[in-house]
Amino acid sequence: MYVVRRAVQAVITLLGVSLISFSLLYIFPGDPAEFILSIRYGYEPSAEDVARLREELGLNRPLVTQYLDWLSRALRGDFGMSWTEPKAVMPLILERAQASAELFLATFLISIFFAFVLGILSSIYRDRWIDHLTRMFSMLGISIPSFWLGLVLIWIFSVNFHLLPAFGCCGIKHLVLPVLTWSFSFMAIKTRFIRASVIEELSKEYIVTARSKGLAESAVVLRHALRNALIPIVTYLSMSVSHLIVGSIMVEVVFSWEGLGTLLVKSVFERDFPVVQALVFLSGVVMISVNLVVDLLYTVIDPRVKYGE
Amino acid sequence: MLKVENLVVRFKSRVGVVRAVDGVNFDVVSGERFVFVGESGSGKTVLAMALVRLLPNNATVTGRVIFDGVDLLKLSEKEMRKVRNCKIAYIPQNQASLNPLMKVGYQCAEPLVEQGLERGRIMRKVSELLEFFGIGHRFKDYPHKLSGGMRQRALLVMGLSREPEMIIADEPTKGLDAVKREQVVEAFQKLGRRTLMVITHDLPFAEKVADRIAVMYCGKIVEISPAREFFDCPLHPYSKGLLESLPERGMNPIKGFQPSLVNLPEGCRFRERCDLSTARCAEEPPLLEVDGSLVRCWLYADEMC
Amino acid sequence: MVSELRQGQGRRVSGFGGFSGFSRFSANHKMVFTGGGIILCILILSCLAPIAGDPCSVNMDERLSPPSFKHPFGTDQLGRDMLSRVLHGGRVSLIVAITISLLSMVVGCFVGAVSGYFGGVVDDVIGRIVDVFMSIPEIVLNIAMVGVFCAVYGVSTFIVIFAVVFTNWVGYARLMRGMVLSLKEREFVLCAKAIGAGEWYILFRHIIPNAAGPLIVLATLNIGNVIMTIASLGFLGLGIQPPIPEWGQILNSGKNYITTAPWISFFPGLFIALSVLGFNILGEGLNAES
Repeated sequence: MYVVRRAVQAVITLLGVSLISFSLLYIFPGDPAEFILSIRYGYEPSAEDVARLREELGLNRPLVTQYLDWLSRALRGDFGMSWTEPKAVMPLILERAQASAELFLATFLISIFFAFVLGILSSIYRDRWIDHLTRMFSMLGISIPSFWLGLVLIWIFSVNFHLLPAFGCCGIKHLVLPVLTWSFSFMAIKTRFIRASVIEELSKEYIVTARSKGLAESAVVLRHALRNALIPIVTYLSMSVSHLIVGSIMVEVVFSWEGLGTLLVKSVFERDFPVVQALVFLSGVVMISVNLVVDLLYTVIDPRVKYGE
Repeated sequence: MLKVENLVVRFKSRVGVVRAVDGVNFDVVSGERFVFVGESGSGKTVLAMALVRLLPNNATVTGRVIFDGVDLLKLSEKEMRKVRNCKIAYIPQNQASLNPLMKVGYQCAEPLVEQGLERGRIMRKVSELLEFFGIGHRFKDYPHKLSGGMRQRALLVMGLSREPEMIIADEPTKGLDAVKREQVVEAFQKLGRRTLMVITHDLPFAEKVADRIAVMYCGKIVEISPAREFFDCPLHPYSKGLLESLPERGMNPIKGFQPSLVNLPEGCRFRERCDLSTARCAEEPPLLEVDGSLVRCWLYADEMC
Repeated sequence: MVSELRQGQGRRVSGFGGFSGFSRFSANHKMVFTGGGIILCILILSCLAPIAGDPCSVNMDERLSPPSFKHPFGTDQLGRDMLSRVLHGGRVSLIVAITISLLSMVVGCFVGAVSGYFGGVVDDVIGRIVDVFMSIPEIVLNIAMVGVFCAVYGVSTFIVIFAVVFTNWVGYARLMRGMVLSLKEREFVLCAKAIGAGEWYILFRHIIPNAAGPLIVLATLNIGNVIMTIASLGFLGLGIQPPIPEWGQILNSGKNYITTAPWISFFPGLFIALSVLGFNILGEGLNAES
């Protein structure tokens, strides 16, 4: 059955992701325990200290055992203790998640709205000025680095005109610039897809039938073309999770937004590997789950797809 | 009811301007069944779509299409929409012409929704029509669950729901086997005395349905005859060829291929493939009247009406 | 279904519809020339980089000076000429990006072709591996990998290249696999089999050349992406390290001087945007569907 097959696939993929996350710690030569100690204390650790830490962290066990142990704890949300902060990894992540979520939500809603409007308009009025404008805008959106755009906007609005704050968090004023920056690139990608999907639908035969029924053009586009295009569009949108994550890292860093993106970068620089491992793993989990849900939902939404494929 | 004068449809293409329909003139009388036959590429479908202005933007339509005294080509898009489906229903070819993600009943009801009737009446009307054509139980189904013949009938229902004065049916038997074709014939018989214009390359079907036949070749009409006379004794060499190529009549194909519309020969377009061509055929023949039929062939130039 | 969408990410490369390598090559010429033109300009400028001077010569007297005739792009916090830094950075970015794309292409095409041609278990296993790679956002993995390596070795250009290739090959693999699957059944392959050609031979001499067209489109678009990725990593401090100038890295160093010397960050970013734009336009122009 399709559901079962798909779920099994997802599980296997998840295992693969976990393998990669786990091995991040072990792919560089040298002793992790030695490493941890030298970060913590800043000097070359003694052999006994290293040995003791190795015992503590269970590093003397065979790799497979360590992996399984890590995996079973990871699945329960336990990623151990942070190496640099006196906290457990998961709470640290959750703290930051909220800030990221705020930024994400605002950007997502605004981008989707405009992407739809522009995408639909440019597919109806194909090759007119609005189409050209939209396509140029999309081109720019995917080519202009968001971190550069962020800095430019900061310079214009913060430095020059003192209208908006450049960094810090919480509050609408602080949201404006990051959301603007992020929306620009996010929107660009979505608009292209929406436009392409609607154009594709409009070229299908049932549209001629719809027109022959004497329907107004808006009804043809909205009720027939758009509605049918929504399935691939929504599928696509839900899979833009990866775009999301990528964008969030850069934007958060530029605006010093205390979210998951800055956490990742900070942890990498501070050599806080458990956090890095956890973030890699979790991003994989999120993507796999979203894809799985969407795939399964697809079988329900599209009447042509039979459940027991 | 319908009078078409000098209809020309041009398409802009990479290889130049193509005249898919090249100066077509005909009348359709109220209540009659007028059938256009011809090979694929002869311009029949383009003609049908041009009448209701459903061609894509790269097509230019010139001429006059006079329906009930009004030239359809001169109407604004808004006014044309009022004509479509309400006065003239265009029933497209079978294939993907139904919205795959909309229930059949709803699609058929859409024109009535446009009209503004209240819901109960719409439901009843559509159900009745679907019943009438034997697919009443398909109201709540999606198109992929219907067979080709059923889809054709659903398209008919869509066209009929507002009781138009004229129906243009494009290739109603395309892709259907003989049994299903019969069902379509039946369905058409049930249409009664509505004015019907059918486009088809299915000659046996045309025989069962037509009052008058018009033959198209390379964008031009080459013959218009009453149906019985056409099938008993076709006038134009091309018509003869078409009938002789039918399995029932010997299956002798016409030699050669249709010329490309970008590279049309001088004079009569059928010349290269015609066994009876003479030197005179280097000049394009006009439509000549012969015993109540019209033929575009020099062979009949010397006969008097 | 959904998996096809996943691959496109909003940009459909016409590899699956009407491909046939170069023989039926249709392109949007305006776009090809615009994109190609932009890239050519940048290439030429990069080649001329040495003329602009030494990107590393420190001159504290002239630090943080705005664009002028002597320093068209201004100077940075160490008095280095920005124009020469940006142009040299261009060389670096372009060379590294092209290297990464080529390496990814080689790896990806090989894996994809093998997967598509041999099918069965091989295809399944490779498919799962590809799925795993596609489930982690590229840049997250890049950051993590570079970060881990740099803990021990310090960041080096090789590590950056390795990390990006590690995630980048997947796109090529999918394209190649799709092409191979479609081409496998075509007549000329069956002919080749009939005359007794070996499987590897068929793969390399028949199938791969036919996939050239869409591959080139993908590669062009990919170079743009890779430039962006390298620059992003550079901006985060995880990319190519000083003293080698790199756009993202320069932009990052200018971040703190945005109030006093915005030109430090402005110009590298502008060039990143222009080069990515150039490659995108070129790629779209080559893509028959635009």
